[in-house]
Amino acid sequence: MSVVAMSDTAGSLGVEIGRAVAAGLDYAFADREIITEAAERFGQDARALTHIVEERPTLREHFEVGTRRYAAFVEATILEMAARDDVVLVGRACPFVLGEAPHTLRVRIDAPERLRAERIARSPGITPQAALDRVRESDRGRSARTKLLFHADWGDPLRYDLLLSTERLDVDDGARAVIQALAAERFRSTEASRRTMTDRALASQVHARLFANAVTRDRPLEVTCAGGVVTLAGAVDAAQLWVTAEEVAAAIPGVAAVRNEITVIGVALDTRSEGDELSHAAFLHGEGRSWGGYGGEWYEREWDAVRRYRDARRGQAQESPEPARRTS
Amino acid sequence: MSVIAISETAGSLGTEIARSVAARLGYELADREIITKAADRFGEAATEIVHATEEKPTLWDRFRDTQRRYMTYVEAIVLELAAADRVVLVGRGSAIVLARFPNVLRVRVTAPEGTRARRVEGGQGLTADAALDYVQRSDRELGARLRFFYHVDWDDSLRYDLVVNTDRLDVAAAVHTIEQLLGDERFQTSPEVGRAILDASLTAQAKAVLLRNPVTRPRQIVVSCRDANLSLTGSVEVPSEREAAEAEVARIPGVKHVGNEIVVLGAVRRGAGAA
Repeated sequence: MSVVAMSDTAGSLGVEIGRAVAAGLDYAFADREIITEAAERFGQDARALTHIVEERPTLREHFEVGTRRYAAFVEATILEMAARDDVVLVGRACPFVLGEAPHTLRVRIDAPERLRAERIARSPGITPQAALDRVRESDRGRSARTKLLFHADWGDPLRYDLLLSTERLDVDDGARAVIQALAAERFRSTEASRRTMTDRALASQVHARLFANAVTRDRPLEVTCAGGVVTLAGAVDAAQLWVTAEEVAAAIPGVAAVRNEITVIGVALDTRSEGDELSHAAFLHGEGRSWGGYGGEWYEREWDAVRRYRDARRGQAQESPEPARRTS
Repeated sequence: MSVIAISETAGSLGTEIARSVAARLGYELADREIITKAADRFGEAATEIVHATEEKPTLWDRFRDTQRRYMTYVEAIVLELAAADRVVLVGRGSAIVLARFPNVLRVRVTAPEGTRARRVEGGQGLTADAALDYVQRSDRELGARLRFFYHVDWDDSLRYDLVVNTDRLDVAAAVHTIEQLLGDERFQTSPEVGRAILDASLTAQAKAVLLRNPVTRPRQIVVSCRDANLSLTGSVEVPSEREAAEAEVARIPGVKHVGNEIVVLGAVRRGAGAA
């Protein structure tokens, strides 16, 4: 009952070792599937996701929100797979996403550049020079990605529990070493550690879903999860965000309940009449809003959200012993 | 029948792991004894050799060949211990000195600075600040030595077959992992590899004794060895130096035969002058 998070370099035999470990322990195995699954789930193009996680970032991407959004999708998928337990995950991002996770053995598989190029050159149609170029390009790209997404040096030994060089070790040796290290009590999942992992996975999925949603994307919402109960916090400028965020979170399988602690700025709670106190600021602006001004269906939806928000807040206020209501 | 070379950082539990592996396999454990032995054998003060292998070279040191001399002694001892087989070596660059032999399992034991400082604090009764300072200074000094002598970065994980981070892995897990890898045939000392290490060991010892002797020290003598047959080439000034070199290396235990092909330059020059 453990999780193995492996990072490999091109031609290092990391994937082969990962598969051998999974076969030896009867664990599930995932490498590129992680990316594909993340892509399918969040409706993104698989090629774009591969680029985000594996390849070298372009200068523009350093400033783009899109990169972080995709990274959130991949992170959510990795955490969800890890929460299922008994799994071997191979990919650059895995040891970093699962860095602080309990019962996760973080492994890095590497070998000298020259040897990795030789291995790749064994495939038909690849010249030795092309193989070396590929290895170098891959190293540069993955290392730059790790720096951009996780602010970490992917070659730093202290980011892993175990590092193996396949210069002398073969796939069998590597797999046996990993399995042996995994036998330590430290890496066996417990009831409590599995709950922690599930909560992290749920929080991460809510986070990713909020990113994927046209209304809630790019809004600074804080998501936490304890015992399956998701708490949303933060401040937004439109009541519909408050409603949508809650709906997004509640729709995720495994979420037991949602505590919506988001504050809507610009909505006064203590007004008796509803006609005049709603400012433009309380309406949802930007990409989620339909065209055609503030009238019609959109206007109704926003009003409905404001009323619901108010009711919820007033209900909370009445429940609390000292109602924080202003009298005027 | 194998050799394990462990590189460790202060507070990483590397020595504990080495001790446990040695005890379980019935191997010899060689850590600080390496230096003591080097000092005894080559007749130089142990403290100076400790300085040569452990502390950061000062600007002045960089220009002193005595430092290189001591390093040659240490290398000779490391190779001699490896040639004896069934041994766990800790530190002194042994993982780097022995890197070219395929039967040597090279292991690096490390852990985050903070974790190591806490261990040192607990183990040696230091204050937290002093422990952290000790760990950082030790890292800097040992790392600088290896860079100075071998031009390598000791933190480069590709210098080792296995790197163990003891932040979360305990001594037992590390020991079991090492044993697991050692079980593989490739780390068993084959007769050919055994001979190669012995030759390397005799070569290193010959270099060491030639450096120890003030008569042969300044001369350019090249040593090579094949199947315990030493051969000396290069040049000296006078015939007595040539004989001294041969006498020195002939005393090394395990040397079968010495082929002395050293050229006496003084004689050549005099011959040229006469002609």
